[in-house]
Amino acid sequence: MTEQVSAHKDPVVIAFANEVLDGFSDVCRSLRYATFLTDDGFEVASIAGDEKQNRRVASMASSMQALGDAVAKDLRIGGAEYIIIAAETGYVIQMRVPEHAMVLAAHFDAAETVGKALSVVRLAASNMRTLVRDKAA
Amino acid sequence: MAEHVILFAGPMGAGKTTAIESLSEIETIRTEATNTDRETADKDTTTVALDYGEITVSDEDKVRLYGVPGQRRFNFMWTILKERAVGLILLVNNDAADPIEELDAFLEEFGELHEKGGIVVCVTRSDVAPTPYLDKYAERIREVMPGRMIPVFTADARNADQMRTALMSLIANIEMTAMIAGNQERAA
Amino acid sequence: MGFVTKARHSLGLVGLSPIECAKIATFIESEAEDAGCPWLVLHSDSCDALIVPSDVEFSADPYQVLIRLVRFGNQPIDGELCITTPLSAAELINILKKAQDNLSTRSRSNDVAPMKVKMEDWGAVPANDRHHVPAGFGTPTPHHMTNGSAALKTEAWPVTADGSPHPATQPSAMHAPVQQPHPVAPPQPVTANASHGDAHEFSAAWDQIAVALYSIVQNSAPAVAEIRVENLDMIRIDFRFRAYNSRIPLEQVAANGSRIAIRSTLVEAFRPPIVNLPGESLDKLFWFIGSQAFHGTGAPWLKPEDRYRLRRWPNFTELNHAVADMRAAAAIGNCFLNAAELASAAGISVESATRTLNAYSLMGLLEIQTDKTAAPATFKPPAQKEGGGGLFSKLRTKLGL
Repeated sequence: MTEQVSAHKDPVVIAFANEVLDGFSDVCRSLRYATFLTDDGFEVASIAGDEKQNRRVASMASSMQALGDAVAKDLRIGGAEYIIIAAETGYVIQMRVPEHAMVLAAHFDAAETVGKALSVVRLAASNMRTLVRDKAA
Repeated sequence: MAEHVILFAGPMGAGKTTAIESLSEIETIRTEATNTDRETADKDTTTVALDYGEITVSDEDKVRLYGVPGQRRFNFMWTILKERAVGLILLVNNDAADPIEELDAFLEEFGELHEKGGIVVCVTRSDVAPTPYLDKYAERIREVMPGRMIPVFTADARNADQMRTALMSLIANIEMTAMIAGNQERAA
Repeated sequence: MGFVTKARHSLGLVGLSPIECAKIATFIESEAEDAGCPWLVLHSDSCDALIVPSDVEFSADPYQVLIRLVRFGNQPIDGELCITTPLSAAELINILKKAQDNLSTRSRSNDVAPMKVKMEDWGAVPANDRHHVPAGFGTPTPHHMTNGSAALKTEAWPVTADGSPHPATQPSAMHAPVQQPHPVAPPQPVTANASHGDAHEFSAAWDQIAVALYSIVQNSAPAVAEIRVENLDMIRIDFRFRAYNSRIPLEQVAANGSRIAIRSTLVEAFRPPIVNLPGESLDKLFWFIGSQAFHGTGAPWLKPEDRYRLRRWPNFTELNHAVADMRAAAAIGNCFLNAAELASAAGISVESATRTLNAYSLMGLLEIQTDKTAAPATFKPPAQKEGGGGLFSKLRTKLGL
């Protein structure tokens, strides 16, 4: 998992992220917002949202991911795979891109089922992993 | 149980996580991520949510030590954590591009904690960068927070004795300020 | 504590050649002490006594004794104390005794402070006997500059039956040299409690070192200095960098030495440092000396009627401090206090509070409030009961401090 250039500064990775997010929104109409971010809270790419909000969500998602990891570590239950925040009018799912220091955070409205949302998030994260891995190869 | 929340703030790379590790009697909880911002601080990882350590003082008292991320993009964590804090240990690395400006920025964000309790400034990495001297920091504090007495020390965050000195000084200052205020009220 | 500091006079050398200065410094270091008239030599024009060439127009202040140096071919001036060239130790000691008598008479008659110093820049300065080579004698290049020197004698004066100290040790007895000086000195770190217990071991010679240091710092001109203690320990100070070097830790420096010498000089700012930088912080040295000197009485430049407040906290992480020092700093950092009030607020003895004030003032950390109309500050003493008190006390116990 050694990346020569940080993901949020790598145009190729940013292009991959945009590509994945475009496909993501196509398969899930209840998606309100999504962003790829680095583990340390930099926005790589987003759909919807304004620039300021995207940066802020990236930071917050990074913190939550780290807190989730800290809890999982403390409880000795392995690494945190994903985090779900359920609210009255929607929920947020965030998931690490396997093998990379990146996280996908997505906001869905309440019309979506958690199961489906989780599936599409997992798919998007997996697609991102494949693209970045192929690029590295 | 009375909880005393002490916050550790300061720019990225100032030594907040290490300082809490030096003081905590439990294994510290860390939320670190791979650091992709090498221009700001050349280190492998960076705190992105919080660090946590604690000292159980007695059956009734526990000191909770929270470290906040240094980068401004995590300032939502600053807001969350300073709600409960009664004191701040502000670490500033002397080898920063402009450490006095860093001091300014963090005092602006966390200066209110002086009113809630107290603040101590620890200048780290002065072995690497001897200047600015402590007087500069003290002078700047007097300018931006006139009338407040904020202790300023050089410190090595890895040195438990030094960090204890900072913590004890913070608490001494908080208690003394309260005592003096109490005396003044009685006198009035 | 059975001793107090003996009063001492300062001797200013004005307009003398480097060789004359070096000779006088050497004579005083080697013989004045044995002759019972220890003097602190400075290149200053506001000392208690001044040696000035007879061909130089100079008017001394009323509190000063003027000694004229009559060089070969010049005529002594009637009615003035004079010494002649070539300088001899015997003549110098003799004239200094007369000056001392003169000053003692004045002091008794008008209660004038006995020691007063002020420093001025003399530019190029004479070499000195850093390695016990008589300064100015065959030393071609002044590799080290010395503007002041002193042979400091631990002359213990018994306290009076009621334990009151010698008047010269009272803060009111000395003018605060809010002026400037040269010479430097060494001391030992202090702390409100722990280190103060050994304070009685500190010889009175260190008091004069403290005075000299205070004067130099007040001057704020670029200066360097060396302090030599009788066991050959040496402390080298460069005030420009607020740093010092010592061959041994301060705690091991002979605290009760009877022969301690200070030499100092002004230097140009561009000269290389005389210490290996970064060296040790000068505050560490000042803390050590300031809190040990004066045997628990106020430093002569402090006035008991004044109150003091910290300008900034001492850098405790580099000082040999006790936990009580933090409380003391917290108290005097937040309001103006005198020694008694500080003792009350911090829960320490008045003597410890006085030592703390001495150290802080030497370190240049104090603001002064001279408003005598301010109401005395009273404090509810800190809780003493076991297990009681605030978080500070509990944490102190917890951390085993």
